[in-house]
Amino acid sequence: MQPTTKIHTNGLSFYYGKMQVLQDVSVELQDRRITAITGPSGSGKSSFLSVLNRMWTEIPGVHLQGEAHIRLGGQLHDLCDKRQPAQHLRRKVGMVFQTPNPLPMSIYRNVAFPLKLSGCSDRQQIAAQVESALRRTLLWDEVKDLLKKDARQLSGGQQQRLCIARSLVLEPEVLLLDEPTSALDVAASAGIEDLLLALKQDCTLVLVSHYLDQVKRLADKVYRVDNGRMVQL
Amino acid sequence: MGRLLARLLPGFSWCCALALTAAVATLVWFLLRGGLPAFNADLLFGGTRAIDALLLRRQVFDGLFPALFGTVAMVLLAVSLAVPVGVAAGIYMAEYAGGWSKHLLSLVFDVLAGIPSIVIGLSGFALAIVLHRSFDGRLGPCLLLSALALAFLVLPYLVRSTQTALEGVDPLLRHTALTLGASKLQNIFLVLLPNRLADLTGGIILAVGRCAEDTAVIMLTGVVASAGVPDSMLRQYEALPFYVYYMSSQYTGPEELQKGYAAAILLMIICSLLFVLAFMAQRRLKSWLLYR
Repeated sequence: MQPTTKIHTNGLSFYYGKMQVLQDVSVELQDRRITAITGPSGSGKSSFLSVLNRMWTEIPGVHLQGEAHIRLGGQLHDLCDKRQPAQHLRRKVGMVFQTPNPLPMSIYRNVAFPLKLSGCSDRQQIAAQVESALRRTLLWDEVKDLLKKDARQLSGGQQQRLCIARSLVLEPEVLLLDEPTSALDVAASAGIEDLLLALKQDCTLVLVSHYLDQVKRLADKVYRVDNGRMVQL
Repeated sequence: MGRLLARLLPGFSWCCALALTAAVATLVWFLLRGGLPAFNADLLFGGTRAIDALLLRRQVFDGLFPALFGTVAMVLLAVSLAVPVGVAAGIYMAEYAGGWSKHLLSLVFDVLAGIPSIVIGLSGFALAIVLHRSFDGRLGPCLLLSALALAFLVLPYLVRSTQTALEGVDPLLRHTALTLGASKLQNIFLVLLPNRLADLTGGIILAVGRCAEDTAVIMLTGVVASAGVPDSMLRQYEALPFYVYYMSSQYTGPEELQKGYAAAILLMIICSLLFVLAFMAQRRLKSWLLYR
């Protein structure tokens, strides 16, 4: 595995019970690049993402074969080993879903939540990091006076940017995005796309997307999933 | 046929709802008619000065204060014994149990929910006899024993309401905190439970109501017609439901019967107050946990 490789799989197969979702996937994802994954619905794109943040271990009946590694803080982590703790890994591998999923709590607490989970209790530090994450996603000016409001009252595009801010607050090395703009209108999507291009500076992005034009605008490398197999385009 | 049914159903449902409301209203009216004349200064404290009774300086012998005190103490004690165990068991059922152990435990909790309260009362009574023998008569039927038996009685409600509350959480919400690096325990206590406090409170309200009204369990495990305010949990006590039961069968004149009705009204007022309290605590706790 080369030093610029962030994620590497070799002969990876993903089983949901007896059904094989991914078959013999061997890919290399480069550091600080946007890698896009396209393909028809139900072809296994989201399953692939669930390997990368080890969420597959939370789904009953899933098991993996083959190899998958991720490099975090210079160290290699085995993604296929179910016994390794996932919490630390998930703090460094953020995830943004198709539907914005703010937690049913205030805007401020949403963004501060991952910090609390990781044991940070310094209020000033939390406040500073929350503000910086909201600034990075260009949300600060819109919400700075509403921080105690329920996050679900924001618009769809704002909610999605809030979710990205929430992932960024822990300064992840990898950000997984599962069709992050498909629930948004054109203007909000454009905002998110600009944001992703800016994030490439310090983050490896893995983007699942249906929109080929979006993939063309953003991606450095594109894979297509078809019938469980992944091929580079 | 189908269209006719579709037309009739709303009307029928409306009538059913009306019948229920009318039944409750009739019940309340009936109680108020029987009990209101007895609502006066002497009802709670009899001949004793209220301040002396409230500060437990002097016992009340001809008022309902000891029964009121006994009921509130018993409900609070029983619910505080049952809630931690019931909620923890519910968490286990929803989040950890799987396969055959879940089926087996489900069956056990269903059986537990189906045990008639008189049987639980008898078990408590049997335990009281054992305690009485083993401790030279120093332990026997008492407030603590009643509360334990009642806690046992309401456990299944709490287990089930916690379990269904947790299992009803939207899958996306369930996974959100996990993707942010939450441990399973953090997810349960910081996201899943706080978001389902209303359902949990529903279970607790059911439990409170069940504890407050039950007579079969307490009359076998420690309640008596006249005990005054108990000075410890290991003493016998009075309770409103038992007072109502006792008066209905043993009253000697219209005044005592009126006091029986008044006790029933008091019991309803106490339950309503406890419900409101639980509801307000839930609202406060939720906004403190999620919207600070």
